[in-house]
Amino acid sequence: MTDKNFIDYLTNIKDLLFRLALRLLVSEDAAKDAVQEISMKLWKHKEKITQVNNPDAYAVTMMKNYCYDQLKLKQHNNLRIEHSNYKDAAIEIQHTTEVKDELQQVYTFLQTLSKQEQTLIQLRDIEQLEYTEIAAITTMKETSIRVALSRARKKIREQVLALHKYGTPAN
Amino acid sequence: MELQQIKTIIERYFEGNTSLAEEKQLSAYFSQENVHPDLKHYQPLFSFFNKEKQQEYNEPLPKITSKTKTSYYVFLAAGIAASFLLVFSVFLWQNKHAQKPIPSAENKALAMQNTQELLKMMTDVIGEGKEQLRYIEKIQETKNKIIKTKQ
Repeated sequence: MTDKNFIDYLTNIKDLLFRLALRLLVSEDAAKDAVQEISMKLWKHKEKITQVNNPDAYAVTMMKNYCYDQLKLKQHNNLRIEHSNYKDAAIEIQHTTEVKDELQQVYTFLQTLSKQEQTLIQLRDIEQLEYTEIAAITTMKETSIRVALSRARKKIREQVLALHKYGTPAN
Repeated sequence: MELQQIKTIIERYFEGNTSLAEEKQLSAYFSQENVHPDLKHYQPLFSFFNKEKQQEYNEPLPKITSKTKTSYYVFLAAGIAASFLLVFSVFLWQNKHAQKPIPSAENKALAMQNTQELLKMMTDVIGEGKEQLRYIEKIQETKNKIIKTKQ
């Protein structure tokens, strides 16, 4: 793999890696660090990248594992778990943020899910990957992915419906 | 799209049974303006997914420097040194040949004669010089007149 090939490969998946890191680590700074870290790791393993079946999945798996490790570390020494995204929404004037607010709600719903469920939602609903790709990344079986994803989506739906009932006056 | 159709797709979506194409249909349906009131509450969910997908990583990627790049500089330096050496040696080689015309037999004889004359002249000069050295004895005599040494 030449330098140029590698840079193309990395440029192609950097956004996806960043979004996954952001989903799992919450903090934007931590997510940026994660992308840098994974880039270096991929560079070290660039010979292996050419050998694996799905180079993109290889990188995403690496990122997923890295994030899980980081989260485990944080449980022990709770370093910077602050998050800078979305925090302005609360301060802004209400009617302008109505739409933003709804998205903010979804964001908080998503955060109540387990990390595995968040990963699956991220890969399927946001990145729109095929089940085979997700299976390669998470080393789960397709059927168990579907089951877990269904459970996660229903959890979000429950919260969305609860909010909806609360938010609209009964006619 | 038919409302009923969308509703069944949504149900299957929550069961985890939709294909990517169907999920894209849902996404397209909810990203347009006139979503049916019955389904309106799902709209934020799909807008959220769409919005999240647009997030990009805009920081510079880490500088990738392969190891072959460092040895590239070594090769460059070695190449420059080698080319200098080559030019220098060609220069020397040419100089050497320019100063060394092939002597003819006549010239050789002439050179021999000149050398012999030169050597003869030198011995003559040395002989003359040696003659003059005899005056050194005078120094001894004069010294003896002044300083009386034990004899």
